[in-house]
Amino acid sequence: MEKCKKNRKLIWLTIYNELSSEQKSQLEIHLQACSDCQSDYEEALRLRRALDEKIQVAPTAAQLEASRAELHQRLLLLSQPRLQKSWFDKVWQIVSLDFAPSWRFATAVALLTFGVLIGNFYSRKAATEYNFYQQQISELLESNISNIESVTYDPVTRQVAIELNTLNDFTIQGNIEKPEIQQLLAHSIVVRYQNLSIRKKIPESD
Amino acid sequence: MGNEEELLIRRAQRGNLKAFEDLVKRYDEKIMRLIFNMVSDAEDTRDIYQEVFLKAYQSITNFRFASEFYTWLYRIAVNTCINFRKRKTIVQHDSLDSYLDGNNDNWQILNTSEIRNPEEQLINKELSEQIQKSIDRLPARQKSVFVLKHYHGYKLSEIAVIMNCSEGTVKNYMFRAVQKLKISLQGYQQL
Ligand SMILES: [Zn+2]
Repeated sequence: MEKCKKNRKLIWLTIYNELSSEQKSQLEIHLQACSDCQSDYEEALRLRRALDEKIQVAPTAAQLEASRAELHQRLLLLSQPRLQKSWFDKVWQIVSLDFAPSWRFATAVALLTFGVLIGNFYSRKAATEYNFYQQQISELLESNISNIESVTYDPVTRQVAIELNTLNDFTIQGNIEKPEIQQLLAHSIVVRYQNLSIRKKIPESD
Repeated sequence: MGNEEELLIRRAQRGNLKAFEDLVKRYDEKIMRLIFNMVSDAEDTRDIYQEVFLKAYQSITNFRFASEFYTWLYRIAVNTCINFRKRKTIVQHDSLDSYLDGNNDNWQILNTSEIRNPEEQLINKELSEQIQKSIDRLPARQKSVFVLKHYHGYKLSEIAVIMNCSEGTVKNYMFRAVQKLKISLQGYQQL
């Protein structure tokens, strides 16, 4: 009965039209001779038909339009993520308040967009320098942006720490004025807006 | 891959946003259906859609024309769905009722060719929910292979490229998936 065990797989392959015509006719010959395999085949057909009954849902044109529009906003931010420091402070103040996630994102996007425009206007001179951060960022983006776990900002030292959820807890740190850090922040907010933990260090009082 | 698509990819790789968005429009309907089949939740589907295409945009320069573009895109989508599920602690599904009443502006039902009476509709809804639960219990890679094959009709050889594994491995995943579905849907096969 070794042959029948092999046929179990062939039955599923023929159900999904994945056998060559030669394999198919060999299987058919066997099915006519072997009642066990024949009933296996019929059972497989019944299962396939039952699975076909599952209700299939598709997005409407309106849903696609809405998703494309949202994506368009995010892509605009990603393609021009240079920001002025002061705008980041404002973004931070607002996103660290307890807004509902959707509100938080809308506000952050609005401010980031404004910041990008202002930033572009004032900081054309800050040409991108290829350094440590640039390399870290591109490696991070290549692997998986959703590895970003949390962002902490210290308004006194203007240091930003971006914590990654990897095997050996990895953190990227840098001054908020660094274009690379700003780029990574924009990425974090744009991509991970719902599950991102954003913290602001409260200055210790004397 | 057509010449037109290759041109769009090359322009997107040089940072042309419009070209990238044209590529999105070619595939996003199918990708969204795929995501929905993987996570069965409208809101999660919308979130994952964003994540998939942002990732694609960020890594499109890595596309080397060694495979079809859609397989590259589908790979990002499948991996994002798998990772999304891993980091989500509470898994909840939308009830199918919200799609069946015909008042949903965002989602429509595809396979309602035959007119059904209310009783048949109820049975169909129960069966669909049971199938969904059974599919959800499958390990991530078996589930991905099964969904791509059964509900999206891709060849096993195409799925092997999407999943970045051999065709033999895909066959094994597929076989194991249908065996498990057979067991968990035993009561429903008489229909
Ligand atoms: Zn046999």
